[in-house]
Amino acid sequence: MGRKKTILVFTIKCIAIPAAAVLLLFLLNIPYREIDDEKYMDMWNLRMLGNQINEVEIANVGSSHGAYDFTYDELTEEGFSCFNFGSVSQTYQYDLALLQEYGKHLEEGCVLFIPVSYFSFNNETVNETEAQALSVKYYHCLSPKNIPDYDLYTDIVTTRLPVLSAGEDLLKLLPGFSPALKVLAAGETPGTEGSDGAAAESGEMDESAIAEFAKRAAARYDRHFNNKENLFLPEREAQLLSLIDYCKKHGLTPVLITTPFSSYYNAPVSEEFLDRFYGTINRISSDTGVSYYDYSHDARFGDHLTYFSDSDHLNAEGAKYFMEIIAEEVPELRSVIRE
Amino acid sequence: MLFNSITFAAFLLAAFILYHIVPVRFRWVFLLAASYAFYMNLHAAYGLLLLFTTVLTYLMALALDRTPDKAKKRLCLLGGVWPLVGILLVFKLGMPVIDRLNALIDAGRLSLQPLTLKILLPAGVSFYFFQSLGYLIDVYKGKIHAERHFGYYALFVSFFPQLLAGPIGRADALLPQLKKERRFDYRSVTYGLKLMAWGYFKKLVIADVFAVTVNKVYDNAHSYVGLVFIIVTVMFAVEIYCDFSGYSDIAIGCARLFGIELAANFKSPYLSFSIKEFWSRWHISLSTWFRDYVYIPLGGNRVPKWRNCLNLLLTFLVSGFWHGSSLTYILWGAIHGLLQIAENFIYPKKKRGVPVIRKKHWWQLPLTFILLCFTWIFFRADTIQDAFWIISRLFWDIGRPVNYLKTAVICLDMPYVSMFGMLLSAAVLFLYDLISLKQDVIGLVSRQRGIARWSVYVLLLVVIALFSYKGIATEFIYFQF
Repeated sequence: MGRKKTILVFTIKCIAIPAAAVLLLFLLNIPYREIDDEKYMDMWNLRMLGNQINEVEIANVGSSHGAYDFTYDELTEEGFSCFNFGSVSQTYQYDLALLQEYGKHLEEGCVLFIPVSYFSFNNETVNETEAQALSVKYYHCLSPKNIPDYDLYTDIVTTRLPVLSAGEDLLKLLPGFSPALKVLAAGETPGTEGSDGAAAESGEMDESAIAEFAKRAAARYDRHFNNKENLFLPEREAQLLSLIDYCKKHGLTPVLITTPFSSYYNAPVSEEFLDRFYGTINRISSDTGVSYYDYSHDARFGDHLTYFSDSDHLNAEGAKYFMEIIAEEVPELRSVIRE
Repeated sequence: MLFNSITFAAFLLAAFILYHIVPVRFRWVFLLAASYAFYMNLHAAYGLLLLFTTVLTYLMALALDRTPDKAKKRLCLLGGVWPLVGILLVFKLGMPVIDRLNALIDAGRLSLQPLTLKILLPAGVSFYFFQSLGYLIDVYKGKIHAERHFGYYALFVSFFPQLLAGPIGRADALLPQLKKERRFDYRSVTYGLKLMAWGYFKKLVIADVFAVTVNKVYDNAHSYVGLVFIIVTVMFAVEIYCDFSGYSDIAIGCARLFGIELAANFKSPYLSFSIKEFWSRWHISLSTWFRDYVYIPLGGNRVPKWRNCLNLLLTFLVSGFWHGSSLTYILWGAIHGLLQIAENFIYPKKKRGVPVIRKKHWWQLPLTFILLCFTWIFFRADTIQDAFWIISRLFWDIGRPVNYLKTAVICLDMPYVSMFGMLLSAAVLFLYDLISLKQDVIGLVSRQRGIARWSVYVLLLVVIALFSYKGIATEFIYFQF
C-alpha cells in the first residue's frame, strides 16, 4: 500500500471509529435524559417562576439551611407569592447568580431572607471536589452568562449530552435496576444533607435516638469546622456584599438571618469563633443597613429536638414553627404580611 | 496540561497533525517546541528549570567526554549531579518545613501575615532530573559519548510524553531514535493509539472510580475500623497500579504517534511470585535506575552478605525518600528493602557456591500480593499515625464474622451494582495482565476479524467517554513525586 493510501485509510478509520462511538453515545443519551432530569429535581421548581409563580413578595436564598428551614405553605395559602431559592451547599455567589437569572420575577419590595450560617464565610462543602461536583446542577437552571466560571465542556457533558457525566447513574438504564439494590437506606448514611436523621417527626425521643442525634451533630460540626484552613474567607464576605448590593439596586428588601440550630450543634462551637462570626455579620449589617436576626441559639428550638431533622436542619414541623415566629418577630416580613 | 484533559486531547491532535506535515528534518525542532509548550503550559517558570537542567548536564557531559583526567572527570560529574540533587532535596525536604511554617502562620502563631511561603514541586522534576543524571553517569562511566547536538539533547530531556512521570528514558535507547528521521508509520501509530486507549481505560474507568472509595476511607481513617481497611487497601493496590501504569501506557502510546518507542514500565506486577520479582515488573524504569545508579555503585551483590543486605536496604530507603520525605514513604521503602533481604535468606541464589533453581509455588502469588498490600498501607496513609491506626484495626471485631462483614458493607456505602462494576473492571484488568504474560494483548486483538476488532475499539471508546467526566479534575498519583 502506498504512503498516501495508508494515510487515507488511517484517516478514515480515525473518523469512523469515533463516529460509531459518538452515535452509540447519542443513542444512550436518549433514555438517559429522563434519569438525568430526576437528578436535578430540586432545580425543577425554578421552572415555575414566570409560569405558576409571579411577582414574588417573600423569598429566600441560601444553602440547605435556606432550603429546608423556610417553608411557605401557609403563606401561599393565604395568597402570598413566595419562593425558596435555597439549595444544598449553595454559596452567596450562586445565590446572586440565581437572582441575576430569575430576579425579574421578584416584586419590588420583596423580602429576601439571606441565611447566614457558621460556614457561610467558608464553604459548606468539605473540599473543592465536592464544590465542583455540586456546581454542575446550576448548568441546568442558569444561562451561561450567569454561571460563575462557566465552562463549555462542563455544559456539554452535563446538559447537552448528560450521559457523559452519568457515572454510576448509568446503571439505572439497566432494566433490573431499582433503588432497593442500594445497600443502605439514605438515613443510615452519617451526615447526609437533609436526611431524616434520628429525630422523630413528633413525640419524644428515646435515649438511643438522642445518642444518635448527638453523634450526627458531631459529624456535622466536623464537616463545617474541621480541616478548613480559613473559616472567614474575604471573597465570601465580598460575595455577600455583592448580593446585598444587588438587592438594593433592584428594590428588594434583604434580611440577614441565622436559622435555629440544636444545642448539640452549638455546643462544640468555640467562643472565639462566635466572637469573630458575630463581629463579621454585625459589621456587615451596620455597614449596609440591612437587619440581622439571630435564631441560632434560640431557646424555643435549641433543646427541642423534635423540631429538627438533624442537628442544624429543621424538619417540617420545626420549619412551620420557625416561619410563624419570624412572621411575628421580623418587622420586614411582618409589614409585608400586614399590608 | 493533564493527559486526561480536553486541552491535552486538542494539543496532541494538533501536534500529531503538524508533526507529520513539517518536513522530516525539522521534526525534532517541532517536537522540542511542542515539549516546551506542553511543560510551560503548567507554569511558564517551569521551562526555566527544564532549560537549566538541560544546559547544565549538556555542558558537564561534554566536559566529561573531553577530559581524560579522572579527578577532573569526577569534578565534572559532581558539578552536574550536586546542583540537581540539591534542588531535588530542597523541594523534597523543604516542602514539609514550608508546610509547617505555613500552618503556624495560618494559626496566627507567627506574625508573618499576609506573607505566605509557598514552594511548589515543579511537575515531573524528579523524572527528568533522574533521566539527565542517568545520562551524565553513563557518560562518566564511558558507556556512551556525550551528545554534541544541543537540540537533540534538549529533546531527550524534555520529550513531552515522558516528561511528567516517565518512563525514565536511557540515552543509549532514546537519543538514536530522536536523531533518526521518522516518517508516518501506520503500525506504530495505530499501536500507540490502542495502547493509549487501554491506558485511559485503566485511569478513567478503574483508578478514578476506585479512588473515590479509597480516599473516603483513608482521608478519614479514624472514622473506620475492621474489614473495610482490608478492602480499600486492596482497592488502592489496584488504583495505584491502574493510575500509574495507565499513565505509562498513555505516555508510551503517545510517543509511538511520533515514531518513538519508550521502554515498558509495567509488566503484570501483581502476578509476581516474590517481592524481588515484583520490582522487576513495577515501575521498571525507576527500579532499574536505582539498580544501576545506586545499588550497583554501592557494591550490589558482589560484596559480603551483610553489605549486600545494607545495600538493598539503602537503595529502597532512597527509593522511599524519592517518593517523599514523609515517614510513611521512608517506612514503605524500608519494608520493601527488608522483605527482599528476608527473601534472599529464605531463597538463596546459591547454595555452597552452586546456583539454585527456584521452583515457584502457587501460594507465593497471593502471599506476595498480601505483603504488597501491607506496604501500600504506609504508602497511602496520610500520616504514620494513620498507618498504625489502620494496621491495628484491620481485624477489629473479627471474632464476630457477621458483624465484621456488615460493618464493612455499611462503611463502604455502595450499591451492589457499583461493586459489581468494580469487580468486572478488575477482572478485565486481571485477564489482560494474565494474557500479556504470554503474548501482546493489543497484537492479539489486532489479529481478530474486522467486526470483532472494531467492536472492541468502539466499545472501549464508549466506555472511556462515559467515565471521562467526573465533575472534577483527577490528577495522576505520580505527578506529586
